[in-house]
Amino acid sequence: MKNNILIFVVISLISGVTSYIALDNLLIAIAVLVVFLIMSIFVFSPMLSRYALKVKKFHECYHFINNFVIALSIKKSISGSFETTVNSMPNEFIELCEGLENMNEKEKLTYLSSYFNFHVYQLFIQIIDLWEDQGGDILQMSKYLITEIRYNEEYITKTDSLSKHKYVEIGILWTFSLLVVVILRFALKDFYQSIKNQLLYMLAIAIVMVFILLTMFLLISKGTSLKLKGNHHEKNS
Amino acid sequence: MKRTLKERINLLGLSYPREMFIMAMLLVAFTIGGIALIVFLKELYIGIFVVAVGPISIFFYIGRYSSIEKVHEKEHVDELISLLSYFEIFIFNGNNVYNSFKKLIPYTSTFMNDAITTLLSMIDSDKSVGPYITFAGKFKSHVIESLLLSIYQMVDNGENISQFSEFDILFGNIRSKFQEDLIENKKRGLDTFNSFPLIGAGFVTIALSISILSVIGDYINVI
Repeated sequence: MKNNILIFVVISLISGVTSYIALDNLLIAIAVLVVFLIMSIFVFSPMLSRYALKVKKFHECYHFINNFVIALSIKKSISGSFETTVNSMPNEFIELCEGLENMNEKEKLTYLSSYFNFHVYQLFIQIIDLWEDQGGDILQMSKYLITEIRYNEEYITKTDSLSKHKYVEIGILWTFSLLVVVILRFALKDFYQSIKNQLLYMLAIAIVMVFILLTMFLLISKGTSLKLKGNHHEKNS
Repeated sequence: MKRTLKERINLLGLSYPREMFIMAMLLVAFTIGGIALIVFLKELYIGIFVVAVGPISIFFYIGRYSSIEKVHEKEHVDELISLLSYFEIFIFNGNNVYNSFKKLIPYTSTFMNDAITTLLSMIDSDKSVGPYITFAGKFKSHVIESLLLSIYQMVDNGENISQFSEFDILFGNIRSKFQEDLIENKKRGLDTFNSFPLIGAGFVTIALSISILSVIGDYINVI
């Protein structure tokens, strides 16, 4: 989160400074800086935080189900498997489960479906219910579920890496594009005094700044969109 | 059969009056903006250009309905493939085909909910392959038709394990391909942003060139 904010502040500063260099107008430069900061703090950063939380929860869900199934195949008891699995999870998750002391292990498992808001977790609960009723080999019973979760995990890991790579790539490309504006301003200094107050030139700089914001918004929207089935976007299609 | 604009908008689940309002607003905004540029800033050509952008923007706005239709069709196929992963879990854990479809309902979108409910009610009265073909017809994909036929064969052969294996192999391949497509689509979607900075730089360069030419023009006029 802090890293994101820092990066966005740097981007806002670069945009503000470029506007100042291009237009020689402090008021417009400050306006650009403020708009970029507002968008970063209230739009872009929350989008990235929501995405990070969703990814973190899915990783936890993956580890929880995987560890629980393995523990259950060895211990053959829900309470023992729950305890073993919870102890292998991050501290934050252990603290969450410590707050559920008045529930039995089965109730805790069901309660966790509000934390792991994914379809795969609900399917996991159904398989555990079935195992409780009929018995059987839990490793076999959850074979297809584990495969499905692994597919999702692989999808998240690969697309996350693709998105981060693209953020850097587009960042570099925009830096070069803004450099063009700065270089032209100094290279054409004889004309600059005449054109800096022209409406078309001012509009062009304004449109480029809006275009940068639009690129950031669309890129982050695309980069943070995940096709993970769950209640958070159940009615999406 | 050619649908009217109103029918297309309604089929996409959008509000017809709202869409009409947006189009009218686009037209009004560009027209007022263009007239303001001509009247107050005496920029005739830019003003005419801004006014002309109005009808063009509406043309593109209507054009987006085709894209939304394609996106919806693809989303439906994607959703069904995801649901068939769950279907496989239910079948493998001892449910029959009918119950497995029924158990999918809590995980479905409105469209899929309707489609599966219709399929189940058709199966109640027709034990032939018909309901499966009708269901597959709702998705514009041959893959879905093959999968549904494979599911029907499972039913037709008393839902024995060898039929399940055939379905498993077929679906396994489709699921892997679906996974690759998901990642490839995301990559393709992200790649579209590569042109944005170039468009930005190009735009500034053109604006600068026009500005410089107009300054040169002024100098020539003075001479």
